[in-house]
Parts: sequence; C-alpha cells; structure tokens
Amino acid sequence: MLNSILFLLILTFLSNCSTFLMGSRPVVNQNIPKLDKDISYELIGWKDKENKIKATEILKTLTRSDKFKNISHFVKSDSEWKIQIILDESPQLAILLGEPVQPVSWVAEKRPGRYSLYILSRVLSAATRLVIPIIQVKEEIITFRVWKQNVKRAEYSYPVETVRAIGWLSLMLTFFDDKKEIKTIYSDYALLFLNDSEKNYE
Amino acid sequence: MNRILFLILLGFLFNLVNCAGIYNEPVFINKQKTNSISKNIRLEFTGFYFYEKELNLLKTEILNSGLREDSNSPVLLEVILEEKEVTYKYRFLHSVNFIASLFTAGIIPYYTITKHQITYRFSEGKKELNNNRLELELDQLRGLSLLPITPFFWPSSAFDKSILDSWKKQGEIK
Repeated sequence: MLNSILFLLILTFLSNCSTFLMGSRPVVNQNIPKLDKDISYELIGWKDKENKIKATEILKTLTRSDKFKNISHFVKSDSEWKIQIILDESPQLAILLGEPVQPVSWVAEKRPGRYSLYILSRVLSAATRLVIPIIQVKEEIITFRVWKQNVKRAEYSYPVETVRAIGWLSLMLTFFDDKKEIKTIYSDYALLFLNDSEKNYE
Repeated sequence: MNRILFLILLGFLFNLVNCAGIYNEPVFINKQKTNSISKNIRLEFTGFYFYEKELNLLKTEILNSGLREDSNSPVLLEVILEEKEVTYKYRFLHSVNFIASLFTAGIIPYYTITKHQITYRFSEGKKELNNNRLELELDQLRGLSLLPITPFFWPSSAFDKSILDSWKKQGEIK
C-alpha cells in the first residue's frame, strides 16, 4: 500500500516534465503599420486558467502592436469590426484517471492511430519501468476571424502541437525542453495574424 | 516491483473504451424570445474543429428544420460550441470515488461530468436578433465492470443526442 502511494506521488511529480514543441516557430515581421480603426474582440474556447493566460498573451500582443486605435470587448464596443480569437483543443488521454472535457470515447473513435500509439507507449513504459516515457500529444488550433458587422472578411488558423513525455529519461531532458518557448508562441501567432490580415480591413 | 507495473497499466486500463455516457437533457442558460427570422441564412460553426461528425449531424438537423443556406443572406446564424470546466458539488465524494476506483482496479467505476455550452446566435448587420445558450451535460463512468454495457451507452452517441436536442429545444421557444 505504502509502495503504491509512493509510486503515485512519483508519477504525479514526473507528469509535469518535458514538454516539447513540434514544428518550427513562425517567422514574423515586427514592423506593423498602424490602422486608424477601433476594433472589438471576442474570445471563444479559452476555458480554463491555463488557457486564459494564453489568451491574455495574445490580447496583450494585439494591444502593444499599436495596430488599432482602440481594442475593446465586443459587448461593450460599437465598432463594426470584430476579431474572433478561437481555441480548439484536441482531447488528451490522462496518465491516471483524468477529468476529460470531451466524451471519453473520443480518442479511440476519432484518432485510432494515435490511440494505438498511446497503448503501445503505455505497455512499453510499463515493461521498462518508465525508462521509455509515456507520450502525450496535444493539438491546439488557434483561429483568428475578421468580421465586418456580420460578414466574415478573413480567417486564419495556426496549429500548435506539443508532446509531453513522462518517464525517467524525460526527467533529465526537462532542462532542455520548450516550456519557455511555448509561452511566447501565442504572441508570435498573434503577430503573424496581424501580418497576414494586413489587407482585410477595408 | 510487480505492483508498480500493475499501477502503470492501471491508468492505461481507465483510458480504454470501457466506459458509459449517460444523456442529460440540455438546459437553457440564456433564453431570448424568437423574433420572426428569415428562412435564408448564412451558417457559421465555431469550436467544432475536433467535432467534425457532430458538425455534420447538426448541420443536417438545422437544414432539415426549414432553414436554407444562402451566402447572400443578411442574416447570420452562428453556432458556437465550447467546452466548460466542471466543478463537483461533492468534491470529497469525488476524491473518495477516485481512490476507490484506483485501488479496485476499476471494478468500482470512476464518475466524471463533461460540460459543454452551445450558443445559437442570429444577427443581421450589427444587430443581434436572437441569442440562445444551452448547457449540455454528460455523465460519464469508466471502469472495467462497465465493459458489458459500453455498446449501449457509447459516450459519443449520448453527446450527439444532446447536441441535436439543443437545436430542437431552442426552436421551441415561443
């Protein structure tokens, strides 16, 4: 009994380790021309505390870029321009029981490939006593939509894919992981959106 | 050492498809009287990136209920699906449940709630005509002992049903 509790503690401790970013960072142009317009924003899908920090990061970037004269929440604004900032998050399989936010059958049904990989990594890490790590993949899609009144002018989607590894090997890798970079990638994409949407405000 | 092996595999057992989802009727959070709205609309789905099947089901349901898609229409219908954080009424019982399922290897099932919020927003120009918001709640159970009933309580099917019902319910407001 004591052994198992100790083990659970170790697993919880390890589970915060080594997060890596897949793919490359976007190349952004820091030079953003000003636009003499008020704009409003709407956030959709940024449900929990962790996500709200990311959303704040994006809004901060939009404000600091000085692109728009004024940015305010869409309910309080009467600007005819609106930016919707949307987060879609893929379901993840938990280490132990977890509190899923989707129907629990989701991964098996919609990503059978990833599901089999997950099962394989589980069995392997159990057989090697966590030397081979348990792998968790998370996909996030950040979508920016530009609206004029209720007509959609443009839509840009950017994917952020992260891999989390839990095990002894990844514990050593934790000093080299991308946790810090992941924090700034959201503001990079906000800038990229401003670059991309240059011609959509006419 | 065998116990450790067992525990790593245990978490894995809980993520296999021995689960059950129990349907709850959608509940209104925000209700607005239906103004007469033109039958021709533009449709915009938000938050469905990972719910493609549900999007198609709901779209068919909406178009079957008498609305027509028209890209020149001034009226826009936005359907917004959001996942919600869940708080448990009896937190202590929930943790007792957690420990009980863990140490019985899932013979006692683990109970969780999944919450979504769906918004139907009609607008014309800058003006909002209608805004109805419903909460979809799904009770989910996971555990080895549930394997025999899993096919009859497949969580996605229960979820699909509550999404489709939310559209019917918002259409019934007088």
